[in-house]
Amino acid sequence: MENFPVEILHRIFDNLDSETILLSIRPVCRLFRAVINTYNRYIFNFESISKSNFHLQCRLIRPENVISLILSNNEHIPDQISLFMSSVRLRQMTRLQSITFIGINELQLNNIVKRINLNSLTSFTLHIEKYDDRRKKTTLNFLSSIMAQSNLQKVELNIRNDRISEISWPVHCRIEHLIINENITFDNLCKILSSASQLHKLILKQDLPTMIDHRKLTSTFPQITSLTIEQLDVPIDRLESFLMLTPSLIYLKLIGKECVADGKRWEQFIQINLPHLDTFQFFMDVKKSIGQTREDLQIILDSFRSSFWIEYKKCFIAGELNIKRPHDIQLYTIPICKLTLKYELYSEKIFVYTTSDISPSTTENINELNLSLKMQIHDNTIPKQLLLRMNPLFPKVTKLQIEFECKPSLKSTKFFQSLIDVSRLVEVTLEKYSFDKGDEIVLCEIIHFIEQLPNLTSLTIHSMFCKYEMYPFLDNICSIIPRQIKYLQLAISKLDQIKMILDRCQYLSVVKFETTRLKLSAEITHWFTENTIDSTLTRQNGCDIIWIGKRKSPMIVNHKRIKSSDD
Amino acid sequence: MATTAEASNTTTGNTETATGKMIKIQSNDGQIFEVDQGVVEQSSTIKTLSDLMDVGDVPIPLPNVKASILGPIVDFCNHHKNDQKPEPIDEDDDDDPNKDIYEPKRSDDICEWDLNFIKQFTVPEGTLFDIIMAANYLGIKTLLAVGCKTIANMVRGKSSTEVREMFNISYDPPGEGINAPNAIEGQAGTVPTTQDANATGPSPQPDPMNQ
Repeated sequence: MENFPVEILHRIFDNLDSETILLSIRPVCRLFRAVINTYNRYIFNFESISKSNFHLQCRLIRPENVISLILSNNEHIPDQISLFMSSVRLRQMTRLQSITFIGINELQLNNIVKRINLNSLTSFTLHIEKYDDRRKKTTLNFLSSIMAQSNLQKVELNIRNDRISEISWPVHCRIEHLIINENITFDNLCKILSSASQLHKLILKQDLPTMIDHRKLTSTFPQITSLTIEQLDVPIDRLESFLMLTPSLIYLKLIGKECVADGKRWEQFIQINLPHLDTFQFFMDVKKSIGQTREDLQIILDSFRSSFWIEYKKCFIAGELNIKRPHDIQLYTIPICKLTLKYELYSEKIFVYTTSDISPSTTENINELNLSLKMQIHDNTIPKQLLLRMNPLFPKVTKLQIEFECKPSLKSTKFFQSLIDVSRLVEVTLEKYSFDKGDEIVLCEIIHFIEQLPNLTSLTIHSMFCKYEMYPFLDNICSIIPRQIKYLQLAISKLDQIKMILDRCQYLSVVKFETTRLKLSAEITHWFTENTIDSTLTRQNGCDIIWIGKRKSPMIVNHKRIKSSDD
Repeated sequence: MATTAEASNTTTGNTETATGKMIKIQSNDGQIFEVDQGVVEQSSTIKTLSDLMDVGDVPIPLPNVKASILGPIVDFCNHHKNDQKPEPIDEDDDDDPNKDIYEPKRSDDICEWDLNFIKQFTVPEGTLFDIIMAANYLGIKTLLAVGCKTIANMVRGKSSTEVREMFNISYDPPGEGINAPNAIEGQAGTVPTTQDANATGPSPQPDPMNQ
């Protein structure tokens, strides 16, 4: 590998995070160190990084070599953005192509944006957590200036409607891809669409703007060719009015309630109003006034069996009905277009399809699975079709949340393997009303199982109530926590367990200890003061959250700095 | 003496097929492969040479690639010749409206066929490095991307010691040999030289690709 030309090594680095480049590759040899010094396409992503590595990266990477910056103030890392501002010479960030601010406050936003060079910006994502009306004017000036950047192509806004409404959009705004995360008014949306003549992809992550049916709509927005609405909950006529504004749609994705349940109506609407539509995907929860049967589901799906759907659009639909909740049905295109799915193993369901060819790729888009286990897992309760599958039912899942509503059993791991490709798992959450002594063996078995997973970085074990029921076996749990994780959430009952966890998990960057006693919380603060340098501690909702600083070796004493804030 | 390998589905010697003109390419150990335009289009080097040289029936010499590597590369290009071509302006874009072209590059999106293809090349034999160098020399972007992503997947999450062991790299004292700081300046921007099996060297470590 040392014989590779520099450009190939740089191409390899393009596929790696800055932590791996700096901490794993840079120290390998002097050649790599020199090559890395010439690399100038760093992506600064501080979403899950230890505090010591955060400082190291800020020190080692020259700001002008960073092309993408992702900063996040979240409940785990509350002061990251201000720390970044004090650690990096912002004026030297001259080549930024992509900026993502999550959970930023307006003062921080204004202070950063006025220092960095925005000329190369192609992508901008903003989520403001704390607003300050005294800064509103400055924020709007900066946002207007960003929207006017000639290279800007993608914008994602998760900010209040009153901020969006006052952005001065340039007459020839060049953005091509817009994501809006907040409810905005219809006027606002029209204002943006009128300015952004090159905008072809629009994603609304909240419901359609209200009031759309109260006025006559005259102008259309033919530049939009791709539209996604993710939390749709409006009457179908209102949705149709909105879609008539976008007659050039090639791609349409709708996720929400009620709107798509009549194939004939949609067939006519598409033929008349969306003649260019090539791909139509939807996932709808539909509530019926009377309980539904398989026959009812068949009748609904019959409206999607015409040659328009099957032969012309090649659009195949599935209908799903839970026998215990016969008033609620789900209708969706195949493959499922949602990224997150709730899956109840033992609910008796009826499925009806408009095709007999159900390909294994039906669930390939789902990357987050919320699994609800209401009954114990035994050999005879795992559906045979699951065990017989060559491939897991959800092959691309990376985040798994399991909610145990019963006592977990020793068959759990076998079951998980038939359900998901466990080697892909990155985040695992195990949740129960109360884990008690009787759950110890199976909980340990699951933890041993996930310890083998190469990509696992996050583990949460959460008792919603009665956390003390876990205390008798917490030592055992702490002694087998997977070594590779970066984030851990767990109850603890004594300080020894902290050492046990930190000794095992060298990569741990954020830990969230669920503690019921304030005395223990104070002892945890003291422990981190004594044993780490520069950790950040906060307490929220009965949890001590620690962004872990540099760990002291036994030789280092009396050399501590710690910041503590209490929300 | 040169030998001809039937690397395409067409009959050897017939230089015009349904897919257009056939072109011969020759590895550095003398083996000749016949490839069609679908393959030529994927390699900027072969395409440039064939345009410039108007080669006719004379094989284009590829002095940096040996037959054991060139053969699989022809297979790779044959497999991908009907793939949708990326937009000329932005090589990361495609027609999928869901694809976010501004996302950081990912290395977990190698398709299954490519994964199985790249598994035949290993670190201990040095062939994984050979295929990457050859893809770079021939200007085959898709193959180069698969190779670089494969290496990235191998090193992600490893310690520097593990990286050294994995690639049989010795930790060099400062300022010596190829690892001297100024060695990098001589390399930057150059086209790789011949595929020397000894240059990559066998590694005593097991190949993680095949584990």
